[in-house]
Amino acid sequence: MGGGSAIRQHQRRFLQGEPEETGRKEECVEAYWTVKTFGEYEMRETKDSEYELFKEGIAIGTFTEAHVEEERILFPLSRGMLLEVSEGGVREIATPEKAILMGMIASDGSNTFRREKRPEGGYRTEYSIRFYSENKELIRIFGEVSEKTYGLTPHHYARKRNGLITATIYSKRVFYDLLDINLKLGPYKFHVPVEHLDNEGKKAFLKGFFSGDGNVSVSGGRIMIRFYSTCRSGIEELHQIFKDLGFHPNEIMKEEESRGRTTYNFTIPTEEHIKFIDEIGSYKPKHILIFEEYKRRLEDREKE
Amino acid sequence: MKKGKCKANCEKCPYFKRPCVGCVIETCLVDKCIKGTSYTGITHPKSFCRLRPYCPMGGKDRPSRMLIPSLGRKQITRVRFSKFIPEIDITDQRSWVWKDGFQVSAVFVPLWQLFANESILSQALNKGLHDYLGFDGKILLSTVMPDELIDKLGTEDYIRLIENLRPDATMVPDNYTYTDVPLYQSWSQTIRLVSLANNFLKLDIPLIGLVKGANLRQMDWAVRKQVEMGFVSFAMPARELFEEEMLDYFLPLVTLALKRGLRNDFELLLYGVGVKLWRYKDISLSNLSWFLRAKHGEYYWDGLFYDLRDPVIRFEECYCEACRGMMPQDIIDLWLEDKERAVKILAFHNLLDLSRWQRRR
Repeated sequence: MGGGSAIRQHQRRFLQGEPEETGRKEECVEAYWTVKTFGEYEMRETKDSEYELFKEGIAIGTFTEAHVEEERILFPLSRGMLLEVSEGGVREIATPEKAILMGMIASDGSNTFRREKRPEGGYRTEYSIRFYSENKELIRIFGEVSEKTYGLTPHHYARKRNGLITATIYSKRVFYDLLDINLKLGPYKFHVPVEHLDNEGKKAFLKGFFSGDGNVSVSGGRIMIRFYSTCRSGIEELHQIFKDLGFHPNEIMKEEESRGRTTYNFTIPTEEHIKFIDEIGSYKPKHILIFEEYKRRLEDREKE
Repeated sequence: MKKGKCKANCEKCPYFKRPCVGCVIETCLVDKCIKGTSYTGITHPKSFCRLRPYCPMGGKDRPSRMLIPSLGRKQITRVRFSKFIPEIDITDQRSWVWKDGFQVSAVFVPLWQLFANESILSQALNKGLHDYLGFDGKILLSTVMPDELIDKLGTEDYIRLIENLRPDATMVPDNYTYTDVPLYQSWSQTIRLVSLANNFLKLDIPLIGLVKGANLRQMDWAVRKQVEMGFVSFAMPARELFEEEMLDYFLPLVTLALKRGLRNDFELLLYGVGVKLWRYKDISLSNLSWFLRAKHGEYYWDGLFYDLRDPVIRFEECYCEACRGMMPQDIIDLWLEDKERAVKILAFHNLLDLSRWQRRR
């Protein structure tokens, strides 16, 4: 395939080919040691403490950091992604921060662009990624995860009429990143990018989503944990990832609202509430208070 | 020249008895690395360096010399390229336009995509490409593939695959020839291309020669050798040359080299260029851009692509077989109701626009 410049080829295919000042060379000695092998993949650490990934003896990537676990190795990539290498092969997964961000956008966010004609000809396109909430804590969390993932601080716009705050990132790069994983399929429609989520990522996605479109109601000392959305396919995907994580969510229910809107929802069974609170939880202060109170009551009951 | 810029001893070059002009290229990555600038994934970090065998201080021997085979000759049938031959995405059935009743006479199927998907590969090998795709037009096999696959496959692998896939024509195996690495590598690859093309003469289907090289001398040599073997249909992977604005320099010279050997009895196809080049009307075109751009809501008009919302084309009715009077605005409306259908119509419209050789305005 290769033709033209090798640098351009590497920039296009591997996001590599960047110049590094390495000093004039009088000699050049190769040195490395093998950190781990997974089937046909081998990870080497070089003398300069960099990591290289080889597949069947052919170098396929070089990284400055690596996180070695028993079952896998994780290499940080750009845009909040990790390259996971395991016996199962190689895949790109989201960091927990990116998974939270995706969950929040899937529930109460948008990923859109607007094109305006310029008076002088041609047009100007504004790419925006938004998260809407009345809750300042959720807006803060959204800002934190977007900074960690993309290094971008959202702009905030508050609506005086109802206190709704919109946190907006203006970025073509982020827009296309989220578009490529089909996160938002349209207004109120979302997709769970399960192929890019490991178990930790699934939990983080659920926490981000639940903080937006999750509901906890209290009645007589009991709570009900409910996920709801008008997007049937999205709610089915959420239901499935709960199963993947060892939960047994109740069946999906369809509800016709008085305004003619159809929503789909499912609840978490009572016996798995503590598991949900411990493993998933929420960033919404109201949810956190209810969960803490619920746990305190259970502990009191056990003491009695 | 006795020594290259990087101080490699060119007098010991196994390819040329007299030293050739050698590495006159100012951008040689080995030379740059020795002087202090390395490139990630190519010459940096040290142990990762792919050019170590070509570097005078790399501590590794150069790969052994590629031998030029004694070339055979055969009467090779012309493929008869149409003006535009769409490449398809074998993993995305939306690009299989014939399934929706749209007529297309020939398609390029990229072999590397089959390697990337084991289940598709095994089905295609069992059934043959025609049955797998449900397509009764001409299937041309494209061997243009990533370098790491090129290094893996030998003649026997290709021949076994082609015998099972049963395409109507195939390109000869691809190679890689970069302009900024030592010429030893690109000459080895060029000789490999000719050598594998020679091995392909045993196949009983029409063959497509490849026009490739890191410089004009290599392209000319590869073309001359393939002409000697009887090749009359050629494809020139030209995406990089087009992007680097070098195509206008190379293409007339390549055409001249072909005419020298074959007069006008040849056909040439530009592979991988995403816009129509009106000034090269005799040369056919093939790409996947018609489909890739449709997936991103982009619309071809006279061989150039526009956003569907671009006011230049947004309200222009199109009477092609796909649009039947629709304008881009109608495709936008359809996109909101039924995205899949809209992508399919847009893709076929793009394909037809690239096939059209009469300007609409």
